Amino acid sequence: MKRRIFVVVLGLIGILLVSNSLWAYGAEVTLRIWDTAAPLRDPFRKIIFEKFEKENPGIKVEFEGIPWGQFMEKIITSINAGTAPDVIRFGYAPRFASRGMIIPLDEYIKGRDGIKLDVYAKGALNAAHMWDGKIYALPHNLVPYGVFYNLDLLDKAGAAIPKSLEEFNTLARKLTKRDAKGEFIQRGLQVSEYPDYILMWLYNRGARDVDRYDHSVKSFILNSPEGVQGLIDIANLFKEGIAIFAQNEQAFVTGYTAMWATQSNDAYMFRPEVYPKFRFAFSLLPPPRGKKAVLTGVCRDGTFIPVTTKNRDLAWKLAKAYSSKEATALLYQGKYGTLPPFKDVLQKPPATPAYEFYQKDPFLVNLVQIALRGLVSPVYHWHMEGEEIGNIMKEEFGNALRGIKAPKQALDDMARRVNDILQRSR
Amino acid sequence: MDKNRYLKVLCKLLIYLVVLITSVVMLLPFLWMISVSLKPAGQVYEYPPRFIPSTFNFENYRTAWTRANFSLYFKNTVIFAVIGTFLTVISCSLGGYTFAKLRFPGKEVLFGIILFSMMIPFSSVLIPLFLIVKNFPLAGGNNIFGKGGIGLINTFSGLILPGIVSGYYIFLFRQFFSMLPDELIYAARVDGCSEFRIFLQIILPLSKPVLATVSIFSFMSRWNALLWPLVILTDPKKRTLQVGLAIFQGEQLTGAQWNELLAASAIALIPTILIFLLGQKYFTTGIALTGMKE
Amino acid sequence: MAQQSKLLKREIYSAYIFLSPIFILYFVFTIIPVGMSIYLSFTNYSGFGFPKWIGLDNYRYTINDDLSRKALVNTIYFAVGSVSLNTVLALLLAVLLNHPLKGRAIFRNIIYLPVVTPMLAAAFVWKFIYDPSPSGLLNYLLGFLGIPSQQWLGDVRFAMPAVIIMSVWKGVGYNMVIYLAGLQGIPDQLYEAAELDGASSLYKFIYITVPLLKPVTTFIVITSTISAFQAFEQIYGMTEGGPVNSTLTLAYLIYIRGFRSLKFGDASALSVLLAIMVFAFSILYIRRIARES
Repeated sequence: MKRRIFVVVLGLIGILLVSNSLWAYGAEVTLRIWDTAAPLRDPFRKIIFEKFEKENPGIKVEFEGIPWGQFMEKIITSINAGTAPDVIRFGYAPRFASRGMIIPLDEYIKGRDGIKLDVYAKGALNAAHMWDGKIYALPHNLVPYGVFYNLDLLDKAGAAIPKSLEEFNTLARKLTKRDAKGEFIQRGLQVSEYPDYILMWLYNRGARDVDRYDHSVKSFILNSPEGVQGLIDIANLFKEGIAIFAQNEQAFVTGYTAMWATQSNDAYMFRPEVYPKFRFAFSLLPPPRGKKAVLTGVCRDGTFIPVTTKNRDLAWKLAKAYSSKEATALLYQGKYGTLPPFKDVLQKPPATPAYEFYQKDPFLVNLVQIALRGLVSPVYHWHMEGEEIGNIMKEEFGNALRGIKAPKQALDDMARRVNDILQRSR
Repeated sequence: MDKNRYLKVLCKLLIYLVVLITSVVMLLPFLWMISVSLKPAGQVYEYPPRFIPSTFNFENYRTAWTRANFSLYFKNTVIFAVIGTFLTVISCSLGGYTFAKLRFPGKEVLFGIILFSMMIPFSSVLIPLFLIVKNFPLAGGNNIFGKGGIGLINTFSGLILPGIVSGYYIFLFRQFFSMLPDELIYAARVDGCSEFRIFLQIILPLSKPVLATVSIFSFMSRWNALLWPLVILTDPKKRTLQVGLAIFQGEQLTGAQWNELLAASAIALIPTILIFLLGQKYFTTGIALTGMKE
Repeated sequence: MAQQSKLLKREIYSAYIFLSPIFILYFVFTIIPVGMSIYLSFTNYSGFGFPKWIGLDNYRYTINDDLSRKALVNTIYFAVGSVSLNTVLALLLAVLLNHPLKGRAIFRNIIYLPVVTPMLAAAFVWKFIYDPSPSGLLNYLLGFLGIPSQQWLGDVRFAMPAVIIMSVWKGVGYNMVIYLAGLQGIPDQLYEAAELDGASSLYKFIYITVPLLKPVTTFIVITSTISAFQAFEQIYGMTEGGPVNSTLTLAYLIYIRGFRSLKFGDASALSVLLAIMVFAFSILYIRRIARES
């Protein structure tokens, strides 16, 4: 009986071992890097990595694209599990830095193989890349927020791109149509349901979300009178049915909605290769008459190095190469709206075919002017508790725009809850 | 007389109608899934929507199978499901038999502990389970205290071991075995047969129905598992089908890609339907066993 | 006599050996995690490094936190809605299918079919059925009844009901089969006797069928509720907790608090509270039924 048990146990272990080898792949000694899954950028990434491998013989680069929605969890579980790559290009570096999961880069920046920080555009290197006074991530791109306009629908209505908020509201109202039964057959505006894009309206009135843009911030001040007025501005559009929440690009490209308030790189979804006949323009949300235009957007993404990385010197080389002027100029050619974070690339784009497109397209020229004036990201993009803050902001904005709460009530609740979190965090 | 028969026929027709409508509602989503998965991107949002696509376009399946690596995930899932099922059936049948037919002190308490496990929500143990697998002593570079390495993260063992024991299957086995006559066992014992031999050579051959049932249930449950594989497998080459599907959804950048996503969903889903059709009777008898009073 | 006690000893010895694999695995992968969960709930473990003991702080935060309260309300809403709908429909379908109909095995299998399918894949299909555009299947079909297109998963009023309906679609077949087995156990004589007394079908149903099925109903309600409290995959696939967190369930909040917000201490506190709720419910319900019978 004892022998039987022994044999059975041995057999079971054998099964586990055999299946383990069926399952497992041998590990390679290479540098691994993760970025967001973006099939259109893969050919450029290939070029960058091949150049890096040529300049650094003996090193191989293994790239993996991670879908945006799973990236956060993957980073957390992989650093915990010790299976993290050597370099990661994502965002939200302070969330990882504050928990000791990534390494500060100051000594590498100031070292022999370092970089000069004055090459970055204004606002590119900000609290989203720093923690506790040290730099943890190299800025990677700029993404402005604004409004896409369906030029065909504007032409049909005989309207130009609005230059003031009042013109904007009138236009949105004009482009909202109902049929005989009272059902909506066209809406003036669709808004992607993220706090970022709703914030445009509040910033437009002069509100700010926090009183300081570094991690010592303790005060969320979006519920100021300006903030309430801004939220009322957009809430009214929802109330009248002029504005709806956007699920994706479908309603916009089919002309059900005439305008789309979102980030510039959503242009990817209706790029000419997919919708050749679709004419669109992008511009800022215009300010109220008599006020100065306010810029909203994110400079949040960056390249950082997990604390589990063994070969830090080599990892720095790769991080530097992937975030360099040449690399970002290649990855973000102004097509589809994302821009590289370097001053001179933005001011004088290189004379390559990709950038010819950039110079001829009025859409992109607007973008660049915006970017050069400096972008400040909303708090939840750079704060260590940004995930919770973002959830709260999304919920309360949703409450206000869906008519569940009055705008002032929603903002007061938002401020109360966010301030709770700000007090509670280190 | 006539009115009575008329009512009876009407009743029967009504029942048929309700059952028929319910069946249509049950099947409609699957048929719609297949329909959309065969459409090219331009037809996904056309109005009015066509139920039967104009062309039978398997491009989306090809995309999922090759570009999105679903062929690899399929293979991984089969290995995971088969081996996991094998281990589950062995251990739970042994356990169920022990509770059903063997007498020993502490039987009720131990069985109660097993039933207790059925009440623990998985969400409540997900995070510690992850940490335990990571800090598993003497595995994946860990020292005896479980520090230093990655433990069983991303390994086959780490994926399978936590799910082997299931109070539900132990319960099922116990129900079935307790219906077998005791005399067989007593006779064999008196003849000098070891308990293990009794189990192996007498009980198991008589248990084909419950073995088949638990095997099928266990296989399906591993095939459909999402949360644990999602958390524990960090290597894209090791993904299972459901995890691959979740990642695939994350990669959808535009709204029109429903055709691809539903083709991928079909790959993840259709095998379960096929297995069900092949092994129908084992499903229904198995469930009946649990519903029976103790 | 001596031989009997020797046999008994061998029986006991074998029993412990047979139970050892499952109990070892059970101890390592169930008991220890439960203990760890409780431990972590008193720390500020942030997903990396060493957890620091902070006492009841997580519980204080969780109990007062708007989001936890919302998740609790949503979970109860979901549980009550899906379990009651599921149980009633399962019983009705079982009673209907209990009649001798032609092809009833086929119908039974069709109704059971959604149960075997993976939840995530089914959730994606339903998400597209609920698509807010006029070409979404549900909107299109309702259009024939003159009902205008709705947002469904994007509308605060309809999102949770939509999730409930999908969950019921997915799970009703399972409970129906259990009820069918239970119905087989009711002797025909009871019905015949009632018929002789002139009882209508409705009377038979209310006064014979339902009471005799009480143990089965108990089982179904308990198991359905326990699994409803853990609803995760359909939320993950269809709504991600929205809109405005109206479909945020406790299981989903635990997951995102841990794996997105990196607040493993808070997430553990939530999971401990969830587990306590599930136990409490099971025990109370069982006791109530025991008292009634």
